[in-house]
Amino acid sequence: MSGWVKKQLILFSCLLVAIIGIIAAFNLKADYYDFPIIEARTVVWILAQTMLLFAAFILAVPVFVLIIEIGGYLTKNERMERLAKDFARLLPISYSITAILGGLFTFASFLLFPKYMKFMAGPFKGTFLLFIILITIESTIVYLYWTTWEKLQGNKKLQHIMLGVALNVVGTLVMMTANIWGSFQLSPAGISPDGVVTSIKSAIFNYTFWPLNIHRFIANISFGGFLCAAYAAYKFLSSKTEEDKAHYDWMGYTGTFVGVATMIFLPFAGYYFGMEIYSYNAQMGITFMGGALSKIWLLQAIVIAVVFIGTCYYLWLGLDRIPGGERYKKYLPYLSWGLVITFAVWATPRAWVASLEDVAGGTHPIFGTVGVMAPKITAVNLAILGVIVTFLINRRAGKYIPQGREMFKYMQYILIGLIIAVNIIVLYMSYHVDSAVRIKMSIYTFLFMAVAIGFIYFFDGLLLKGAQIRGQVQWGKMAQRSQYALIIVAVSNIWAMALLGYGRAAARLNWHVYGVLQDTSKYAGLPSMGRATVIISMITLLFLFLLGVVFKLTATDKKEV
Amino acid sequence: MDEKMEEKNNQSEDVKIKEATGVKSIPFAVIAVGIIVFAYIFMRYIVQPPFPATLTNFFMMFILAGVLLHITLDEKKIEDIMLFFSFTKKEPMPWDIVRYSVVVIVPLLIASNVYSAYKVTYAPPAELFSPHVTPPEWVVNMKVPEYAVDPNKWESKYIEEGRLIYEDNCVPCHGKDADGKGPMASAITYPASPTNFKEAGTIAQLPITYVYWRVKDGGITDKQFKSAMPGWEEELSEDDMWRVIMYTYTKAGVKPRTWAE
Amino acid sequence: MNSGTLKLIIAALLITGFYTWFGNSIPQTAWEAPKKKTFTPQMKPSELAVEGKDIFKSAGCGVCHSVTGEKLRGPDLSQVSTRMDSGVMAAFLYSGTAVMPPAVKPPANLNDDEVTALVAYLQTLGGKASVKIGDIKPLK
Repeated sequence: MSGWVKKQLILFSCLLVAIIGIIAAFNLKADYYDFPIIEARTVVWILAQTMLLFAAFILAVPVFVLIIEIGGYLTKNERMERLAKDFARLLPISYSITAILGGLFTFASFLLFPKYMKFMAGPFKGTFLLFIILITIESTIVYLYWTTWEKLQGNKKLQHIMLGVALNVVGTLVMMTANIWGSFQLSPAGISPDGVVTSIKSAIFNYTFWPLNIHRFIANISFGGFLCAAYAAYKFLSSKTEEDKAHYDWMGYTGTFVGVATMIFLPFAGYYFGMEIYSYNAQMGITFMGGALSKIWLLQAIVIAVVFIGTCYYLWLGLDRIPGGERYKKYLPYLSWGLVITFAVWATPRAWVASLEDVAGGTHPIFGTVGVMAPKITAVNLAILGVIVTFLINRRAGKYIPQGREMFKYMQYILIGLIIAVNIIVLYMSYHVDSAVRIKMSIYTFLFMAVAIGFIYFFDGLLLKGAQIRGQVQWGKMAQRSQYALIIVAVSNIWAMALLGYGRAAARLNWHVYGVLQDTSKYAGLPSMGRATVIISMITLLFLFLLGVVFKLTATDKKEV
Repeated sequence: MDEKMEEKNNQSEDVKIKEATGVKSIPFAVIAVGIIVFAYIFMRYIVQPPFPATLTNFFMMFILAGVLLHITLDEKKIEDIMLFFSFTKKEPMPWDIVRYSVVVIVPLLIASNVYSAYKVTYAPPAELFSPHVTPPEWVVNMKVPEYAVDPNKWESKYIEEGRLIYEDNCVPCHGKDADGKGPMASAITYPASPTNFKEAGTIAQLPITYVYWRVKDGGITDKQFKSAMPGWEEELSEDDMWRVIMYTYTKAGVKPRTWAE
Repeated sequence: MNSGTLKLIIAALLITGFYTWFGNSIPQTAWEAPKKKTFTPQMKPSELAVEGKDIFKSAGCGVCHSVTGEKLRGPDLSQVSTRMDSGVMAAFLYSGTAVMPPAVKPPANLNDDEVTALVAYLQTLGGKASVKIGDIKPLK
């Protein structure tokens, strides 16, 4: 029991710091205070985003660990059990760091932006209390989960897995409680005309509450997978023995697999989020997508291109370790160029005004055609198809295709050809119809693609059913540059999260709570994109540094593992 | 097994072809350099009008990434490139020219980029660079009069009325042909020249209510957007404004967008 | 520090550096919170003139009037304060299309304070600004 108390000490001292900040804030006279040299806004920005990244991490790790643990339990795979435990080890310290950052963030934002925080503390007193209770429970379960790992083995493993489920449920509740505040800021509801919260229930279940929950939940799993892969890559690069290399190579592959499998759903969660923003307030949607913030999407396109192509690149290089993979190597350059070109189309800005003559909207006949929405939808569809083909090649590489099953292969070719043809026809038509029709067409195209991809996998199952393998996968036989790709993908993921975190906050423009509580401080405007990227990069590096500290503190001798 | 046989056949065929033709294939390094150079020449000199410099650089980023991926996908290609540029292997004359020019030109390019990045140039104020100004809420939610809703059903009598209003009020700046080259246009260079409606980036990109807002209120004088366009709220009736907008779209030969996007 | 750590740091720095460079290489726009320009009676005439210059440019006066001696559609204003005093200037501005041909319609949606600032600016053309907020009254 004393161990539990010791572990909770950090949490409680952080809560104490936060509470001191809150009490102090209510005795302050002015609306805003400034922070010397690096400005109040930057302080709160860095603290909030780093805390959010850590919060994502401590939500991602339990989900990831649970998936791997269940996988290991079901397949009796020792390696998976070891991987799960390796990551569960990180949890206690990560919780402490998150708590420290959270305490500092609360303290700083109450003291620097008392006007806003006092407003929030009024109606949301109850949720603050709920939050404190939930994180105490969560931190207790983490403690139990980690300390009972060795005790609850064998027959009792199921109990331990149930504990993991409980941890994830409470963790998700904590995230949802925190999302109440963020989503309320963006799309306040239950407000009377003079800006007083009248219905706490509709304030909680506002327009963007569920989209934010879903988006963050999916993104967190993906985030966990990619961070695991990056950690594996790091260990791979520093390991000296073949045995270690084999283990970390396998770990990187598993992490990447979890990351990509969930990442595919992210765009749709994003569309849902965007749709709700539009239906809450079309003007905010326009600001976000086409107005003052449109540059965020340009950067996001680049970052996502790096994540997508980097992941595929890793999988392509992975063919080297699959016996028989060399058969497909000659097709890879085509696939690679295809992805590069589709992402170039996707990232092309609609209007890139570079000189005063262009201000009236000078648009080039070619890039003007590429810059509009129609080809971008086609480009994204084709990029997804490229990822699917990469997966198919990976599945097929190590196997002999049984005789007499050529038909299924040709069916797959026909389906892939159909997807390309449909996309090109839709692209051609998109230029000739109204935008409302185009959006409908793109939805049908996407549905068609989903069905066709389902069939491709169905035929793949038939094709490879009981196929003889060409040889064991040679884990560890992997080029070093593939590991750099994994690190770059993970860092880009962190960067993308920090970028869109900024975007979500910036969408409110000069409002603390959109349309209700105006920001009248001297930081009411938005910095230029260049300045924002500097701070986002700083946050990313700070997070990586803290993550390095966590890994360092939990590092153990090899014998124990 | 079928596939095994197939593979062997393929391999031997490849070897046979190479032996039979005896042609030395172009080194991959030359192809890579060729792709990069051709892409740049294509964007800057072949396409008319050429891509703006900033956009060319943007696309070159993708081309470079693509070439890099292509090379690093195969261990053998990396070795080939290293060998080619380390000048250890003898190459025929044309390839020699290629590798020497790369070695000379790349540092020069980097130097010129550094120079132009630090050269002080006059740059117009940055706030002008936002072509889409965020409209107020009433613009997004406003109801368009029935006769102006569907561009395919605009009646010619309204458009004709619009023409008269346009010629009375808009021609001095926006020009008879809606190309932004009216008799007064040359006098307005600050903060922006009169809009050329025929350009794809202007009214063709905007919903009709957005254009209505700009006609009604004119240049907005806060930091978000500045222009010399006067507001016409007091001069023209609502119907007049809708008609002149319909005429402008017709004259420019484009159609408005819808908010749905 | 082992070799893996160094490689990790280099990769992380490279990719974040690339994004930062890219973010800074595109045209930069900072968004400022909309500010209602406030004019106070305490403002010095010279301060008003600075605001007035902005109004002159953005309200479209330059469509017809040059301040450099160039001949445009309307009279050149480069020495206007030698020809008329502040009252006359204000009278012109308030009369609007009655005295200036209606290609655009002066005074282009200006309120009283903005007209005052504009007059202050016009006074600096060939002279010195002297009006303050409250000096200029609309015509009856």
